[in-house]
Amino acid sequence: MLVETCVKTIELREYAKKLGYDEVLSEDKYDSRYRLSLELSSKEEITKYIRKIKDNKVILFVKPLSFEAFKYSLQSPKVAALILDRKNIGLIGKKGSLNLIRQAKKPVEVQLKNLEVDVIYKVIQWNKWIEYPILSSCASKFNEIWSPLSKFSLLVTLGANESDALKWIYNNPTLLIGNYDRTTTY
Amino acid sequence: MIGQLLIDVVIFIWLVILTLYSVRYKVIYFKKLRAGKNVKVKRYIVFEMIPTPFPQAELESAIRNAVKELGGKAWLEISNPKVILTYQNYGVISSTRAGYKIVIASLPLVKSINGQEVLLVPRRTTGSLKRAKKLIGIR
Repeated sequence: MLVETCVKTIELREYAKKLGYDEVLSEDKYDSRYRLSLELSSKEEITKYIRKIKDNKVILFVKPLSFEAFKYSLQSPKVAALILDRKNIGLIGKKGSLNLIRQAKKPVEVQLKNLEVDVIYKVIQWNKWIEYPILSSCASKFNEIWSPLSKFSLLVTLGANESDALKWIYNNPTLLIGNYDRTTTY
Repeated sequence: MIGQLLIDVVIFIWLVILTLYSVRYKVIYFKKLRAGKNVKVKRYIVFEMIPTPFPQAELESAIRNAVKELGGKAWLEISNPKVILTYQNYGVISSTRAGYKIVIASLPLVKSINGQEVLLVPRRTTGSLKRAKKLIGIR
């Protein structure tokens, strides 16, 4: 099952299906299951947001901006995945932080909206530590959605192994949703 | 002086005889240099235009700009993408075997053509134009 892990509105589901995706995770609150992306810099802020979330249909994605927030979001089972970009790559790119990600086995999301090739390249290089990377479009318009084939080609062009690239696009988003379902149901 | 000239003539005649002998009895093999087996192999990318089709020339320039944006001039020259044909909402891009992946990767970077929003979706990659035509429904 192919899953697009980030679109802004539910209306884009139709286009995502045309591109070959089976499931879409939108930021629209009216969807049966939606994602919430937060950019936070302290542990208190994360706990505050987690307390606010009362329904089970939210999948929480956190972009940590401090080491404290990063460590807490790795430990918290409510945080489904971490968001990685140029703002926090310096924080996560240290060996100690990478080892923590490997231990926690949390998915790491890279958003393709601004296409930060250097970030994607580094994630490919950190394959040993980041076990579950995810590429998501985060499209707010229909023409910003990336097709799975384009994502695959981008990864391969930047030096990723073909089997790894396939795993990142095909398996990891499914795994993310599967993990989330397991933790909320039981 | 005459002696030197005589030696030169003898050597010249000897070389001519040797050349004729080697060519006639194929002592020296002249092997034609051929290009590598797959140098000319192309890849044809079938793509779909959503929601409306666009003219070939405008599509080509947009795709070339996108490839240049992602991979730079080097990859543009390696991949050398050209829109060969468009049919209804589908089109075919020809590229090289070495660079077709960067063309596929840069298709989402084409966000608008002439101010009109567009989404280019890669569908299939084939090795022959005949197959590509068949895929988009041209018989």
